Amino acid sequence: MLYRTAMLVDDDLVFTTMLSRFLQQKKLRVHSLKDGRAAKSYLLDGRPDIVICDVVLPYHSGFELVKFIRKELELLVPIIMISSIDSENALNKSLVAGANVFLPKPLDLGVLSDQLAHFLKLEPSGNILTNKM
Amino acid sequence: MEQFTMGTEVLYGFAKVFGATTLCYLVFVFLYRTRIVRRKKQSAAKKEEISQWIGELLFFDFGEASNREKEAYLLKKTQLREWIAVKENRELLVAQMLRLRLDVAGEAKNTLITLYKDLNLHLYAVQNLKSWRWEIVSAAILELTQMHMAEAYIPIRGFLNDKRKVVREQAEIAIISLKEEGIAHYLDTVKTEISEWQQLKIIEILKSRNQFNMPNFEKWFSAHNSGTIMLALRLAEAFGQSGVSSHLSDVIVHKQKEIRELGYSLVQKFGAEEVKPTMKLYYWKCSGDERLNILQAFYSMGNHEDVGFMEEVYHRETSETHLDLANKILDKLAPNRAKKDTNPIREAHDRPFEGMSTEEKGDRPPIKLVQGDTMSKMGEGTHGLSILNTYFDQDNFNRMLLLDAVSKTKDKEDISLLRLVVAKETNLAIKIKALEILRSFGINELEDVSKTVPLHDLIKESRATR
Repeated sequence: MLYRTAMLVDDDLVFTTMLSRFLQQKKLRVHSLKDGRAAKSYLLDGRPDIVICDVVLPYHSGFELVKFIRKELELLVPIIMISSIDSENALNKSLVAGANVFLPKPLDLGVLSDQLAHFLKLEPSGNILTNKM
Repeated sequence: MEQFTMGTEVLYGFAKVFGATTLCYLVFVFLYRTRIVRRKKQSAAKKEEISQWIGELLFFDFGEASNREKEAYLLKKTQLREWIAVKENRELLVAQMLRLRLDVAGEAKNTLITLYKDLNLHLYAVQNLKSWRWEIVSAAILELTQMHMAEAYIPIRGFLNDKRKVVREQAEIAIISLKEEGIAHYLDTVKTEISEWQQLKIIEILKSRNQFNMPNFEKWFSAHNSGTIMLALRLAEAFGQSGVSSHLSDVIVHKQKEIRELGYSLVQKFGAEEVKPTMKLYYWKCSGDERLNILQAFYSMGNHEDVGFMEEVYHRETSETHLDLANKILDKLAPNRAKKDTNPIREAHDRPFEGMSTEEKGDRPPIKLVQGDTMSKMGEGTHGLSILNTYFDQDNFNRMLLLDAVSKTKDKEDISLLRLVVAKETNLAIKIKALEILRSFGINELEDVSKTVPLHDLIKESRATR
């Protein structure tokens, strides 16, 4: 069975590990990356089905990464931005940069689950409905 | 030459000592740095291990897991328990869990708290409460609060009036966060000052509670601790407890100004009719700022029953600001009864330094004047007596200003005042000014001054009329 891939970019080790575990439970293959530079180089070859990234990252910020995905790579992959900067400004900036959703921290995994279901067409249990072709 | 050889030997000796010291230092730095790097690496490795463990334990589904997976889970938990027996490991785990606790919400947060409790980490934190070091105690209270350990409520309660500020404030937040009855206990027992910042934090915490059966905060309006009263007032305001209105009478006459001011804001917010009699009685005893508060309260909640009091204020008040406000209130409550203020003296007060040089203006205090309408209400023959009441209390500068105002209006009713000034004034320049004004009325006062009624008689008459 082919899995869908999620690219997770966050420099917080514990949070990333926890989130990776959660995404794996949703039957997603997770590529966990620590900074914007690593994410950019991964994206040059890899094509994830969904991108989950933090706003504050080493080397390149989350906004820069999203702009890179949308403008330079011209990918239409769904992007979920997560940040502890819960402000109108951060929300607007992330949406203007090209993110589909902005989720503030503390992150409710139920909400994230709903977003994954929306973008990846998961069934309520969290399993993928259709396998990647 | 011999001296030079000895000097070289000494220098060699020094060089050897310094060389050895430098070598020791470098070796020490190298070893110490290596140790730090090694520890950092170990710590990073441990963090990764912890993250894996937390992730696995957090999302383990007992319902769907096979027996083998369940066994593995229990084994992992046992290993983790053994691992956290070491203080360093435990501290690392707690730090990671606290950090994660801030990043997740909903079910994941609850699971994290359950895991914390399952691993008996709260017991270690409670143990830390016994430490004599304030930073350890404070960190333990914070940890227990963030992990919502209601069991720690009783031990933390003991720190409520702790002499160490950090510990005390941490305990206050904990008590309020951990149990619903915490706020009542806190208000009952707090003996120390409560900073404004702390009060705001407490209100924020209580407001963030979903279901909160709040006590009636008026119970603490008569507390001994002024901080308690302030907080109780702010809480009553934040939670819209309009039932406290009847208890605000004591608050607005409290000895502490901040409490009184807060009391007035609540009176206005809740439209506390019950407090009106107290405010009316207290009005003449309080300061200018408080009078404004009282007038503002009447402006927002006054009705026709308060017209009498407002008229009294309007007649007796000497401050311009208060008079303006009283006038506005009267306009609002009884538009037909309020009169427009056209008193020339008052107009002069608005422009007291008009036409004067900078030197003349100097650094003088403003004139304390009586409202014009008050004088006109005193009736024929007594006009200007209120001015007289204050005229002779003023300094020469202000007296000149008053006369200046009179000269501008040229009201014949001011003649009696001018005559009195001529008769009683001791300053020659002012006396001359009064005479000149009288001349402008066509009166040669040097001839007529004997007709003037003695000043003290006029003042007595004026008071009797009032």
